[in-house]
Amino acid sequence: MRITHVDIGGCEGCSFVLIRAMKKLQGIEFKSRLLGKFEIENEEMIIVSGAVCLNSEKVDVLKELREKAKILVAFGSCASVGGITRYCRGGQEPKPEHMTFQPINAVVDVDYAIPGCPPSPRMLKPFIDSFVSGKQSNYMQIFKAVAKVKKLSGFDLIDDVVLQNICIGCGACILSCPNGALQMVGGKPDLIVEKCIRCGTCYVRCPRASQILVRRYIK
Amino acid sequence: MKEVARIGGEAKIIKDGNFLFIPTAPVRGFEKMVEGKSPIFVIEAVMRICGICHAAHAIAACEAFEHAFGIYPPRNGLLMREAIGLLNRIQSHLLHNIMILPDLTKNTDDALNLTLETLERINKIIADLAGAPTHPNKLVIGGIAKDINEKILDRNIEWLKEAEKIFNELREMEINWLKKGEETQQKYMATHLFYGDRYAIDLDKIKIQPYEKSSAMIAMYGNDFVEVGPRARLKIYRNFSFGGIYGLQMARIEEIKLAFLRIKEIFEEIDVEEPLRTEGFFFRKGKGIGVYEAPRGTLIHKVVVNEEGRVEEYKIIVPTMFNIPLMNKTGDELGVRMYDPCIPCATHEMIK
Amino acid sequence: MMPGWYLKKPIGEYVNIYAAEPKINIEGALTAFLCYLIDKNLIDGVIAAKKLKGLEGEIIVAKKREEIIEAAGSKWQVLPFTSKLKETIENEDLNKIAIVGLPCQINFLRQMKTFPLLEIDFSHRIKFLISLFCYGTFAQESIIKHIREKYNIDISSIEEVKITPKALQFIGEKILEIPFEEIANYLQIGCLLCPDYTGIASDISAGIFEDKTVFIARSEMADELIKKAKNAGYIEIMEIGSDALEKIEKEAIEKINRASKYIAKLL
Repeated sequence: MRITHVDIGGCEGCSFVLIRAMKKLQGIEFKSRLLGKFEIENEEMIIVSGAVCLNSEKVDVLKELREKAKILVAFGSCASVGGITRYCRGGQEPKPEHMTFQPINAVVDVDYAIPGCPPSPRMLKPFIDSFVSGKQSNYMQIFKAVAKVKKLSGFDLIDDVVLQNICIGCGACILSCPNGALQMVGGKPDLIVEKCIRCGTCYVRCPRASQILVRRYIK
Repeated sequence: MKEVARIGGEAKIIKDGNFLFIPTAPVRGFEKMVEGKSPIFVIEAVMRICGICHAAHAIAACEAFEHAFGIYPPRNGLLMREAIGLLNRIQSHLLHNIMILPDLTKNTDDALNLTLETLERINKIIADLAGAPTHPNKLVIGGIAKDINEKILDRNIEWLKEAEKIFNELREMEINWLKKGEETQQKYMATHLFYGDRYAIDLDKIKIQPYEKSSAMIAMYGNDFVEVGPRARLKIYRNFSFGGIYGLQMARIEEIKLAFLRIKEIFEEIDVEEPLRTEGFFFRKGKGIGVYEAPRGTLIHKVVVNEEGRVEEYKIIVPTMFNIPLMNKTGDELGVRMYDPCIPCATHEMIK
Repeated sequence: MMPGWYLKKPIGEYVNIYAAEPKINIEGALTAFLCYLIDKNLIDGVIAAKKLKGLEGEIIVAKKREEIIEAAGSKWQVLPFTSKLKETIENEDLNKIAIVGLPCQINFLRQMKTFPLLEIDFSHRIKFLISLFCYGTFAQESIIKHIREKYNIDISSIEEVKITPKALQFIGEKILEIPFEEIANYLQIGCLLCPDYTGIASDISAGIFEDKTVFIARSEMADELIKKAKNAGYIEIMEIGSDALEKIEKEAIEKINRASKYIAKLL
């Protein structure tokens, strides 16, 4: 399978995760600017990392990538749901006009979005296997649903699940936070707001929240 | 104008008369982002400026806040922080190695495997001690937010020894590919061999200026362009001498070797009975500067905190900013790559 | 997680279904099976809930047979996994653990195993996922208050909770029977949205059905292990009969329909 990676404004953390993962997989032809120059032609799968700056020429780059890709995957929290770039304000020299960063689905249609800051390299094998083998597990529906969402965070988890009284106290979110921003208080999760970087991992792991995602965006 | 590949980020090179290296990544603006925020958020956020030298930013930020609040981590905490910083240094140099191998040799497979094997073990150690291999969240103001015991320390010493063994194989291979060249008359700047020292340089002499139409800015020390990074550190503190463009890569290899020795020393010195973290302090009004030797050179974080304990002003000066003029002097792409520029880091500066 | 997916196979995929009884001197076939796994070093730890008193419990990491036996018994509540749990597993460096949980927990653990999103996910340390049958868990404070106000019983005096065909029995000094229609008002609302009765994402599902322990082996490996445990004399297994199977499926379908109804109301 041919996979191409393009980063449009991230921290390069996701880029190196992809290199570590691809070097271990068989049968993958992988192109990345970190490994060498290449031109974007018609590609089988393009994986994009980093959020898109709406005030820059990256918007056009992204549109071109969408045209040339059969499958477009947003990799990492910045590209899928915004991640830390949700806090960006602009106003900083030398480009104060770079004010708005959005996940890439603000500009193009995305097929799959994988949150995580950064996602683990062990994530790639089962993900790519779904395409190679043709058999997709039901969990892939979650990544299809995330591709349509503009933001996912601990704040959304509290709003959509805990405050709606549908939290059952299973602890999935606690085990899914890379920063320990969620703590169990009185049988329900509580958010330490200073620690939430809006990566969205807690939301896709929550039994109720992932149900809401699939129901709202896939059906 | 052509795009440069195999560097940490997005940049172009203009070659019309002058050779200019121009970073082109968008400016996410972390200095503006953290204004008004709690110090706890700032540490999590600035780590994500860069996915390669993440721990370096966290450590510099912690140092800046600790300076502002007038607190110190306990000795154990400082030692562990130094170890985690050095592990990140090894990570960063190894990731850079992956990118430049095609410049050093035709058949990169063996060296690539050795690099990745060493990297996986180093990642395991950082994940165990600092919370995650990328963006380690246990680096906090006041020390390290993790309890350790003999068992945890012992297994990390084992993994470290494994990693060192594999690295030595890689080192044997690489030093054969690095040709020694002529030493140039150049000024260097570094504050410490392993950690960082805000009193080792005159911070008022650091000047920042805008740079062409790019999204980065450049920095000078007084009226000089100075080189920062592995060669600068080894030159100033170990009298290292390996001239030519490959001197930088030789310095990186030496640094990894020294880092392994120092980390082992630290692990033996750590007392598992003592705390790793100072607790019970307030976020209050103050000014602080954190200086840390990131993998690519001297990294400076400056913070002003208001009465509520929230950030009023934040400035970051990144090593790549010092090196950009020197990259231009080399005149070619290989020179740029040997300087190991970090573009996500370099696009975050403010005019003073 | 969507009810529609479950309707085709209400109790999920499986290789075999057994009724099981413990043969060693231990109460509970599941406990006996876990003892087999740990005695033969097929696993090095079990994560399960241990009852403290009344309806209270805590999650424990059991590394020895005695610790597993201490944790036996139904809890009737979901005990949350906490960050301390992950720390314990990593500090003890356990590499083949079995986790006993409710369908919702097993579901997210299966997601974590299949798609490990974070580098710090510990899913590679998990060897077996064992799901209990679940019709819903209580909203703690509500049920405690209800039992105290209507029946004048303090929950901490309850030793055990048993399920009968028509009611739940709260066994303390006396036996308090509360019929299902009444108890249904005190289930957590989040549980009403769940379509998973037997835990279809598990390797083995274990539940009490009409006084029998039912094992659903969902993979060849799980089936092998159950048979080995029988041959080693830890458990006795029998066919459950098509009657019982039909009843279990009926329960599962009821839960799926309940979920469809409540999801439609919510969204």
